[in-house]
Amino acid sequence: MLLSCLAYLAGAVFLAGSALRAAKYARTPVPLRWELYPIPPGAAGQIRYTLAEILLLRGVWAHNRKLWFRTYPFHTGIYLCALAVASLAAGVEWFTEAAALAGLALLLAGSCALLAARLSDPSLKPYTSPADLFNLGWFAAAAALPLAAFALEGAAPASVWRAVLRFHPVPPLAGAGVALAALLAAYIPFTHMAHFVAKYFAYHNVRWDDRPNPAVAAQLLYTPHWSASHIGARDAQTWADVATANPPQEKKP
Amino acid sequence: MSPDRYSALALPQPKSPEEERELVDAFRRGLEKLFRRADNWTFLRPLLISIEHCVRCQTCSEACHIFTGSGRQEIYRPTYRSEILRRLYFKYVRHSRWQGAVELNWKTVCELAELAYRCNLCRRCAQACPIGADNGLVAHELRKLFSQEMGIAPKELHAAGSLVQLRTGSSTGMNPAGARDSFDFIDQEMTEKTGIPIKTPWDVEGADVLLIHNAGEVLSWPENPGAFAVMLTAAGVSWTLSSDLTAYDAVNYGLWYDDVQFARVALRQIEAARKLKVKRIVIGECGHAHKALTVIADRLLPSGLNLPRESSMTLMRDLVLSGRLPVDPARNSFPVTLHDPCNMARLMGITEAQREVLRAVCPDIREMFPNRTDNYCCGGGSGFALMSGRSFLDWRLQVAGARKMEQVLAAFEGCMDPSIDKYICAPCSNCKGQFRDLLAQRGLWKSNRIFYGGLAELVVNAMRDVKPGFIEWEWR
Repeated sequence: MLLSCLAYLAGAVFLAGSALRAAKYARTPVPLRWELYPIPPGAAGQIRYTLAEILLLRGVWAHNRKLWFRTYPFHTGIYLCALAVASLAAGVEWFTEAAALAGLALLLAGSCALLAARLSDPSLKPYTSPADLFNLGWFAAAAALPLAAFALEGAAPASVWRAVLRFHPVPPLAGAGVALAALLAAYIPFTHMAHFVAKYFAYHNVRWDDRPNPAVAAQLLYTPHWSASHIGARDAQTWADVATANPPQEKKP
Repeated sequence: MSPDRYSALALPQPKSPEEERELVDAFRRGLEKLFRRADNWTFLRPLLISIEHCVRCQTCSEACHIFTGSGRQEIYRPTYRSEILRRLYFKYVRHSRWQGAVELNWKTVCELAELAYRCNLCRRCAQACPIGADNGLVAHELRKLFSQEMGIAPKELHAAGSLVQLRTGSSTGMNPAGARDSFDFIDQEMTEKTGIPIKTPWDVEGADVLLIHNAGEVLSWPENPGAFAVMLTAAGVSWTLSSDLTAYDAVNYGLWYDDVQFARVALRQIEAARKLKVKRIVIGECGHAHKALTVIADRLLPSGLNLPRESSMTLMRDLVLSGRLPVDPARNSFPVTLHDPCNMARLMGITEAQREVLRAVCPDIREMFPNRTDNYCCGGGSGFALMSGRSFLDWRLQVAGARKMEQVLAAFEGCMDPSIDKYICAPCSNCKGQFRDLLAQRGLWKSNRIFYGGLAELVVNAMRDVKPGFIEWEWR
C-alpha cells in the first residue's frame, strides 16, 4: 500500500517537477536571436532531427563514438523501462515483461559503463562531480535490484510493477527496487538529468528560433545594475535608456 | 597569472590583499548579475540551459579547432572554462555543494578572464552538443561579466575599439570627414584602375541600398570597398554611404564582449539608415557585422527601426547571376579556395550565395573540407584578428589558426608550386586579417604564392567592362 502510494506520488512529482523546470525556462526572458545552423527545414525536418537525436543519440554517434556505446544502452534502457511502466498503467501488457527486462539489463550495463568511464577516463574524471557519481550509482542500483529480485525471488519486473500499480503486495527485494526507482524518478527533474526538458528550449527557443518576439519590448524596460563605468547605469535607468545613451560622445570635450 | 604563457588582457597583479578582495568581490557581484533577468535578459535562457545541463561528456571537444590545434591541451577544452563557471554558479548563486570543488580567488578570476579570450566564439562545439549546451556562449557571457561589471576587456576591442567608434564614428578613429577623404582617394584609384568613372555617393536620401563597410577595409584593403563601388556603379544600383556617427563603419565589437556597447552601436547604425529613408541596408564583407546588425540586433529594434538588412553575398549573387555585371571567368584562371566566415555560415546559414558567385566568376574552385556550416574558424574570430600584443599573436597563429591552415594547404594540394598564383577568398575583414598574418608567418606568399582577398575583388577582376588585372598580386 505504502509502496504503491510512493510509486504514484513519485510519478506525480516527476511530472510536476518536469513541468516546473519547463516553466522556469519558459519564464526566462526572451533572449536575443542566437541561431545555429544548419537548421532542419520545416516542422517535419525538425521532428525527424529531434527523433533521431532522442531515439538514436545521433549527435553522440557522430561526435563521440566511444561514449555512444556506453550512453546508448543507458538511454535506451530508460526508454524501455519507462515504456513498460507507462504501458502497464495504460493497461497494455503483452510486451511489458520483455521490455522491462531488456530495459533493466541495458540500463544496468549502461550505467556501470558510464560510471567506469567517469572514474577512469582522463577526459571525464576531472569533470566528474560527486553528484554525477551518486546519480549513476543510483541508476545502477535501481536497475540491479529488480534484476536481483527476478533472480532470487522469481518476481518478474513488469509483474512487480503491475502489482504495485494495483496496490498489491510485492516481495521485499522487488519492493526495494520499486522504491529506489520511484525516488529516482521523483529526483530527476530537480537535477541536470532533466535535459530532456532543457533540450526543447535549447533547440526550439534558441538554436532554431529566428522569429521576432514582441516580448522583448517589455524587457527593454528592465533596470540593469552593471557597475562598469562605461555602462553608465544609474538608478532606475532602463536597459533602453542605457543602450540609447552614448557616454563616450557625451564626455567629448 | 595567465593559464598559458600568453595574455589577451595583461591584468595587473593586485597591489594589496584589499585590492585583491575587491576584485574578487566585484567578480562575485558580476556572477550574480549574469544570472539575473533584469541584468542579463539578453542571454539568460541559453546560458542557464548550458550551465545547468551540460553533462561534461566532452562530445564537443573534438569539434573545437583550438583544443585540437593545441595538441589537446586541457585548458583549451571547450568545457574547461565552462566547468569553472558552472561550479562557481552552483556554489555562489545556487548555494549547492555537490557540483564539484572550486575556490573563488584572484587566481581563478584572472584565469577565467584570460580563458574567456581563448575561444573564437565560433560555436562549432555547440553544433556538436546533443543537449544544446553552448560553451561558446559561456565564453561570451564571461567576457560580458568582466566588461560590464569590472570594466575588463582587451584594449583593442574596448578602449581602442567600441569606445572609439562611439566617440569618433569608427573603431579606426576615422571621423566622417576622414572617411569621405579616404573614399575620394579610393574613387580616384578605382577610376584609373578600371576605366569606369567612380564617385561614391554619400548621404543620398531614398537610395535603394545603404552600404556599410567594415572601415578597416578602407585602411587595409581599400580595393574591397573600391570593388563594391565599381560593381554598384556598373550595375546602376541606387546606393549610398552614410556619414552619420558609426554608420560608415559596420563593425560592432560589442558583439564579442559587451551587450550594452553592442546595442549602442547597432541602434546608431540603424538610425542612420532610417534617417536617410533607404530601402535596405547591405552589409559589406564583414562576418561579425553581418551577424550583429542582421541577427543579434533584430529583436532589439522597435518596428519603426526594423529595416530590411541584407548580406552583400546575396546582393553580389543577384548582380552577377542576373547578368547586370557581364563577367569573363577566364580572367580568374587561378585556383581559388573559399573560406566560410563562421558568422555568415554557421551562425547565419549563408553558405550558397557566395558559392554561386564564385562558380560564375572562377573556373578553378577548390573547396576546403569541412566547409559551409561545418567550417573551421580561421582563428581570428571574435576580435582575435585585431589582438596581437603580449605574445597573443603567437597563440592565435600557432594554436587558433592551425586547423585552418591545414585546410588551406589541403585545398591547394597539387598546385603548391610558386609558379601558380593561388587565392584564398575570405569575404570577411576579420578573417582576412588572420589570413594575412597566417600566410606571412608561414611564408606561404613568398614561397608558394598563396594570396588572400575578398569576393568582390574576384567579381570585378572578372568583369568584362573593367580593364584586366584588377587583382594585382601584391602582398599587403
